[in-house]
Amino acid sequence: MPGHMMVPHYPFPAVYGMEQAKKALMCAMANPKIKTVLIKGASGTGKTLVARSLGEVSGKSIVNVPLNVTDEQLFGCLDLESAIKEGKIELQEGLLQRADGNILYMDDVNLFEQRMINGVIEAVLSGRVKIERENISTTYDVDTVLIATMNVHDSYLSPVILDHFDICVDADYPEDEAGRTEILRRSLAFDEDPDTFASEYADEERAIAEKIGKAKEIAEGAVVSESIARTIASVSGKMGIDGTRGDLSTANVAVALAALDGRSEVSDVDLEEAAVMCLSHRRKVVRGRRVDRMEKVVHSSVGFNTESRAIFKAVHPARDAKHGADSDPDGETPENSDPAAVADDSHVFRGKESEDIITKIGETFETIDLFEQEGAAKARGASSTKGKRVLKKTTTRSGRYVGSRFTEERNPDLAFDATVRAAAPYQIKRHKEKDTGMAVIIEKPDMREKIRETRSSSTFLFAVDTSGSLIIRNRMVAVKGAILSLLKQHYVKKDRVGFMTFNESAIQMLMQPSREVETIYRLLDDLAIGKRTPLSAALQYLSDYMSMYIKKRPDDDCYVVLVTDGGANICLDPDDTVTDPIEEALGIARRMNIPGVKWIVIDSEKKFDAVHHAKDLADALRATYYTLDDLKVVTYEEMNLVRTAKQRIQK
Amino acid sequence: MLMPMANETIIFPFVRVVGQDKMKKGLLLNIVDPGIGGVLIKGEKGTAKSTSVRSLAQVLPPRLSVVGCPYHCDPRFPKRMCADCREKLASDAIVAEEVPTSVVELPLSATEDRVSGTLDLEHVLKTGEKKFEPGVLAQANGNILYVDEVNLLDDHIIDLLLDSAAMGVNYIEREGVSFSHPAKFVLVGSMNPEEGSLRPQLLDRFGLCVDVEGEKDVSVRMEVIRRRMQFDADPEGYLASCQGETDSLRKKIEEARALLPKVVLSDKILHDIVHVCIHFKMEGHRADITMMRASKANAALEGRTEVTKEDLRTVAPLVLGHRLKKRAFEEVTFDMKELDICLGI
Repeated sequence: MPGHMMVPHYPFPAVYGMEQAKKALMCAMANPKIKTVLIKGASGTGKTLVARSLGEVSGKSIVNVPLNVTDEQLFGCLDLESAIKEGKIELQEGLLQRADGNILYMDDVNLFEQRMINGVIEAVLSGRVKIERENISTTYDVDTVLIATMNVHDSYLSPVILDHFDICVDADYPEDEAGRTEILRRSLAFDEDPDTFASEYADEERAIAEKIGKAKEIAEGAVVSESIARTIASVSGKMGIDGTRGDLSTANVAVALAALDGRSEVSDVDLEEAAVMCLSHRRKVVRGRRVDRMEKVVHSSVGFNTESRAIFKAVHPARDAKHGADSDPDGETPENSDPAAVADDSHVFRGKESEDIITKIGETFETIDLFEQEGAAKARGASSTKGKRVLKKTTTRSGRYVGSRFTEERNPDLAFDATVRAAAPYQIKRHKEKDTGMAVIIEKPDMREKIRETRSSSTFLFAVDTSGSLIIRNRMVAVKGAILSLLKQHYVKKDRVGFMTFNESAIQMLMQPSREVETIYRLLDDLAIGKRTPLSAALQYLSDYMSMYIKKRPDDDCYVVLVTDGGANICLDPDDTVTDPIEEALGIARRMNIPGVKWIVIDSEKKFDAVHHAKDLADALRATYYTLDDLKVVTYEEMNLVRTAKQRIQK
Repeated sequence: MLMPMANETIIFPFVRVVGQDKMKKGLLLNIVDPGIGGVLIKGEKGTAKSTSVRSLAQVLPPRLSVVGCPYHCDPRFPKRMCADCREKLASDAIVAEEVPTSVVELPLSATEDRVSGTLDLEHVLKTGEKKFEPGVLAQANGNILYVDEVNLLDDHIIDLLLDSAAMGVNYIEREGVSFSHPAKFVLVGSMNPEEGSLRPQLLDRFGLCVDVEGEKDVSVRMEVIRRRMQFDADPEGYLASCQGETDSLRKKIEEARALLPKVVLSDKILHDIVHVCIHFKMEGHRADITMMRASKANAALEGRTEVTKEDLRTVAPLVLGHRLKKRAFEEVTFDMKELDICLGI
């Protein structure tokens, strides 16, 4: 089959801005011990551009891993033609093999299936690919570097995968007018005449290539001194980073940075820079008060006086006042490494909100992703992948074809390529036994069916108690705020969301679960309020509804988010005055058992109120329990603070 | 130009679609400069979305294609040819022909292997050799790819489409096939926002976006019905009756394409573009670059060789509208007045 296309080449030095990303890439080229680089950024910031431009300056070719790659193609599989024609079992080279000595490139790495990412990273880091499939059992060596990009707004990577990236940098694109104009000008010039444009940067490109070449020689002989190693260990210790991967990466990157500067001796500045590139993505889940304070930690460990702390104080006086006692002001105590403790801290007071937050419907906070929370909860017990966005094997015939397996089904979702490969080695023998006139004789045991995977979608059904008790305490505003922030998140992530309310006059399914999440905005503004709470009836209704729903969408993760104070006061039979409505509701809750449906109870009472009926309800439902106050996390302001601190360091 | 063949369904003529100027503009700009990155048409049902896109073929200038090439490589751009054609080019064996540019439709039910192409089953069974069977992306190269109800398409297929559209290349690494071929096309998507929306990251990757609304004016609606009735009564006749207009629009497009490389963009305008994009808080650089390209195309379409502020005014809503930052569930509409102040008009 004919080969591959050429893609026009944008010169590496012509990429404007992106200094951190460029530096990271050059480090990876200069020190072969750096195996994996991740570039994160919003869409349209030039992540792909900078990664692809690396080919020319590194003298390596870039092997692209398309989003719809299959296992076989990635790792290598049986060579079909030689098997059928000559009966020989040979390995057809996979993408990884082609990347040997070159650069392996994965665009939008977070959209790949987790299994695939794991496989690639494992192979790249170990330098070895092991194949056990289709009569082939072999291993081969691969010496390559993985460059990956991801869009920060588009789902996420699990911490385990993140940890396997030596370097993770942000696509720090220029936001000033001059910078953007220059980018536009260059893009205009490149469009008009790519060749002339490239030739203008040829000298610079050559200079960079030479610099990398020299750095490579220096880095080869460089040794990390004892004291540097100790500093690294103490920095990562203070940041509460598990494992030693980060330490090693930091050391390697520091060596590369020094080498690029023509030195074999690692300086404090190198170390600082390396730590920012290698450690920031490895910190434990950032929750509540835990904002990115890594620069400060780095600074204080390397013996720098830290200004960022001063800025921090100036912006968050209130926070410090409250937490002065338990968080050491100098950052000299190890960061709290228990994610649980961090999560529990999430109700802290947070200074003033930026003004444009929609006050009308309560504060819209960045909220905890319910899934992440659950993941963190699980991680406390045993390590496990996060519940969400993990791709799910589907039983229907839709989704991405990712691999194949043996099948005995009558009418399978046939993976043709795999089937033919399975049959291939026997062709010569079978043709001798019987001649059917077919080129390929396929028998039942050869049949392979497709393994397909889809990103699992989730359904959130919000069931909101709109009884008077909520109004009296003016908690409805907070409820709306919390729901909206939750929805905002799930809207981005393309889940299905439904909305139902209940009070004495009606149990209303205002919106069937759908992707049209924005409708809820209107619904929330115009809620009918009743006085009393028919909790039992509402639970009964939810039970019936969800049992039906789960049958229609068996692949979905379903969550019922019950927002209530748990104060039931109407029984199933409204005229029944004997039964205690709360007890009745709890009884129904205890009997509730719909496989595939998980419950989340959000308590609309204030956290420090005396009575918590909702907590009992949550226990009865075996639900995850939150109070409204739990659902507020890091604000934008704090995020921005981190950003400015980072920029300062680069300067 | 060729008329549609007799056995093809005749589509309502593009030039007779009433109103919907923004949508037409978005489509035409993309035809003049396919680098703009496609257009997403949002609107309720019955607003002539599909009709306009499908009928676009009538006004598309014909193009050159290598005879027998499944990817319709354009012989004028050797760098964008498939490996096969490049080989042929080296031995001077290329024969080109003029073919009509077409609108290729992607059905919602399309599977991934049909979109990207896959192993040719028949060939393997008959000969035992592997061969690549081109898919919709191959067909789309050099043409317009139309996806109706793009919001209902599976996520992984949309990712695939946008990737190819951005790169101009379709990479296939699956089912024992390792191959890449040119896939440079104008992606046109249409959707009914009532049926759910697209992820914001996907929105950003459509160069332009237009909102279409049904006409509210009674006399205009009457005109729509009148034309439709005339068309239904005698499709061929109706199409012939506006052949002149169709031809002149096609000519206009051809001229604009020829003019495009000559269009200059002054430093002042460059600054204006950046200023506007910063003012409207555009993230990344896609908005800047798209605005630059679209304004050039608009100038060319109007027969000018210099981009003016008026061009920016025309294209800004198409470029910026879908990229505006939305907070939670806010409705955001593009504010022309704000733009004018920003441009100092």
